[in-house]
Amino acid sequence: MKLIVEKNVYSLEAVEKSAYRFIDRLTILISTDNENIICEIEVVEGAKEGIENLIANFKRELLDQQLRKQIKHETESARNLILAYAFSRTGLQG
Amino acid sequence: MLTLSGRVIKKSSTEATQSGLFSLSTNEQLPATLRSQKAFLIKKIGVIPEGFLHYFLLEGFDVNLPSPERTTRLGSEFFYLGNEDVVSLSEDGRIRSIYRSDSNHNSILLTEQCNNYCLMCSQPPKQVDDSWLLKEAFDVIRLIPRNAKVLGFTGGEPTIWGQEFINLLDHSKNWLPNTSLHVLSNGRFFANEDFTYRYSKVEHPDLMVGIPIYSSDPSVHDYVVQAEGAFDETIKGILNLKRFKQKVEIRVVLHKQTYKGLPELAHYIARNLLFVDQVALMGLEHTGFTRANIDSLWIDPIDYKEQLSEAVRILNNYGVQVAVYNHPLCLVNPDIFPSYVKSISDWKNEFAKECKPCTRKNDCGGFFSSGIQNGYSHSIRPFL
Amino acid sequence: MSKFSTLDKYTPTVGKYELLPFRFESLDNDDVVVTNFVGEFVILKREKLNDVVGKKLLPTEETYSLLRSRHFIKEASDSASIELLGLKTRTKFSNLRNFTNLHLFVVSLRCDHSCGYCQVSRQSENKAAFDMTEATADKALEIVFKSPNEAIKIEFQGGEPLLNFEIVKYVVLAAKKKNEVQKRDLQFVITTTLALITDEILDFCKEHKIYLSSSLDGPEDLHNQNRPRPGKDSHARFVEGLKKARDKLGYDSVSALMTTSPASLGKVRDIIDEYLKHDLDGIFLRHLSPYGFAIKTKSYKAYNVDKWLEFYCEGLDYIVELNKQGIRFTEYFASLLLTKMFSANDPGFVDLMNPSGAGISAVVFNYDGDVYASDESRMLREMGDTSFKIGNLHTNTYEEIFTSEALLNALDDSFTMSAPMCTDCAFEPWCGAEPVFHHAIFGDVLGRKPESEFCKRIMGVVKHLLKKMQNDPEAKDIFIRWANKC
Repeated sequence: MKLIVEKNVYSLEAVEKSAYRFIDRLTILISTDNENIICEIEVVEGAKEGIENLIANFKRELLDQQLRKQIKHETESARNLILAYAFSRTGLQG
Repeated sequence: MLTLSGRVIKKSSTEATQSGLFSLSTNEQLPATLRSQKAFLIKKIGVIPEGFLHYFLLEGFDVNLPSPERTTRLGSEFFYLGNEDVVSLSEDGRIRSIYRSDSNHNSILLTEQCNNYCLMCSQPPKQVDDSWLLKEAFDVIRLIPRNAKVLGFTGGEPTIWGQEFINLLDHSKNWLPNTSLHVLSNGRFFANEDFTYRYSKVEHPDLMVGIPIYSSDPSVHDYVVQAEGAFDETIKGILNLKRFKQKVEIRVVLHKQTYKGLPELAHYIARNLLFVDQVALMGLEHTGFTRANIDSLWIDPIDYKEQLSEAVRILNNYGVQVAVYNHPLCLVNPDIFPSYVKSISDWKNEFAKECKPCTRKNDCGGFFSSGIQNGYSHSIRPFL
Repeated sequence: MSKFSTLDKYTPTVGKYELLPFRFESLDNDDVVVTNFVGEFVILKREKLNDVVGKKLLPTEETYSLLRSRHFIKEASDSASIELLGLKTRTKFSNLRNFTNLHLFVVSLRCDHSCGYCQVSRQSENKAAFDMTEATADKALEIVFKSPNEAIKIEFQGGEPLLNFEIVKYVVLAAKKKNEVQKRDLQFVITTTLALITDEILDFCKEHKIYLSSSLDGPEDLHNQNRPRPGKDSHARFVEGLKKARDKLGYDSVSALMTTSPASLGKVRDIIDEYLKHDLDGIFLRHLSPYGFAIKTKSYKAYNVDKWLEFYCEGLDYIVELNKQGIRFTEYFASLLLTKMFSANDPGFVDLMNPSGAGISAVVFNYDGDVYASDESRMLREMGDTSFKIGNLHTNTYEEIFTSEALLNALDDSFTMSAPMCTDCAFEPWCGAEPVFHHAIFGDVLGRKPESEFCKRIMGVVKHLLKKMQNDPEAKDIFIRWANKC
């Protein structure tokens, strides 16, 4: 089946990461056109859940991955600062 | 409750014109060469030895003395004074007990100034130039007996004197090399790395600083100490102290603003400040600013005993040394007994009337005298 | 007018807080667990997480206060939080500097047992061609003392090390001699079935303070079924050996491990009871690793992760109940994870480290002089795969061994912070890279985590621990004690 999401709502990165998470249950071929990201989805043979359940979970995963992307983006400078402290010679092992 | 400072009894205008610091002696056999440096304390019938620098006469021993200008009469409230104590006599007739040799709770007040303004401060800050207190401290140290086990430095905020404070620590190390020092500080000046470095260079053999943290939530801590940014500075101060391998104790006063966050604070200490030497959880003293803020502060300790138990349990689980001070035994859960300390400074410790039949008074820290005066828990129950 | 300000004055302005780095994973019931940069965690509702990220969290909410103290969010004025996160990160990785601690000496492949799941090709007792020689042992010791670690642990493995006890003695004496100069904190362990223990061997162990690590798979019938030997008396010999060893060496000089086989499933309580019966302080409820005879005999395929998780969770719950009754008994796998969840310490367990503990934490000297990056690596070799052989004692130097391509590539490529799915996973701070396992199953050191039984296993256990803590404060208390080895 095909799942189509809008590019200006979901990033390609989020779609790819979601697809990766489901790799043991769904085989997903990703392509894009001008406005959309298209997912061609097939259930992996022997998967325990039914396709409706899997698709529903996949959609929820998309939201999760978008959120993760946002968090990562906002916290990048803090992450660099923390690592700088972690590897500096401050003489304290904590 | 002991009277640590008060007025002398003046019999005539010629008496008590000497002023300054005195080390007391009750030893009438003291070698003559030493008498000129000490003051003799008369609290029993006997021969009054000659040659002392000054004489302190307790009420009830009305004798005439060789040199009335070197004599001071004291009321019976000063009967606790003893051999090797240090007192300060002012020109205008006030006497202060600065050091008591039979006590484990001696503290020298270095200043009343402070850069915090805690809601429950038992020594409310004053914006005055009291550097004379610091100068006096140097002289006091010279008079304290060399076998003193422990000495405290308090305030206000002792570190407000900067380098002079560090000099005092050095001075203590020189004159009292076997005496442990316990400094009470809000820790904020230690956020200055250079100051902390110089503090560490004293290389005192047994020096600990007790620093309060009232919450792991910076806003709550800043509110309790009434100073914005205090939490951050305090944490930085603690980190600097540990960077230079100094001993740190974290103190928490338990009241209405701090009890709810106590378990979370225990977690915070365990995850971020695991290297501290000990944690002291303390009951509220009903004096000073506490009286002005009593509605925001007062909670019956029996109402926070679960949070107290949880915090102690968390800290114990992480192997942090924890001690619970200033709580009557009947107001805490038995599970904290291993960490419970019978602790209120002797000079401000009493029992309530409900305690009369209690069989465990010996194990109990009792009350702050201020609590007896100004109000205490309604849940006191004697152990029978 | 009061000279004191109210709490309002110190309460931050709404919506101005910043996010600190954190990750999240879903649990049941719309709960999510969020973990910060160093693996401290909070459980929230998914909707609340949206509020947190959308800056809609109010400073008067309890969640706000919690997330701020635990370093998930900060106000602009909070400068201590970044510094503290940096310090905690340092602590987490501080053991890396010490480098290799555990050195495994495979002194013989010969064994009196023929366990169905054995990860080592065993040969019958007679073939002396599978013993380590003194020449090899000498070379191994040279390498051992090149490690910069103050603490060195030498562990004798096999087969059955007691079948080549001469070399064990040789290594212990030679190591102690070398240590007279080096003065490291030197420890010795022998992994043994205890079936062949003698008084003479115990005397030697006592003299040199050697610890024993043995195997107890469960009650007698299960144990003997898993671990056949001529005489069918593995369990009885274990019990006898345990008593003898404790009498001579002391109560806690012997520890026991169990291995899970298909026959173990459904019997976890019996297994734990057996451990209690023999006064053991805890149990490591292990998974079945897919190496050596296990794959050859297809016992690995006989069960999957779900069944193992059932087994594990039942065992853990039982152990928690025992603890509530005052019986001090630890589940060691949980305690490894819990140490990482509740403190900044790394327990240094080779299979649960990032970067992988291979080489960095442990190294294996095989009987033939080949050096392997970990115990799993040499098991892989027994299946014909030498991908993780990092050198040979007789032909390579210390530097060549520890900078070999095989080792460095494995460490580099399996690094979880840059692995797909792992980089985003909330459990990453508690987990580890497992290059050898993933290579064995998937053919590359990373594997595909969604398909990985290792991943499923860790996630399954972690979620179970979190759920337990949520519903049972007493369990949380017990877990914190385990985390701090109290």
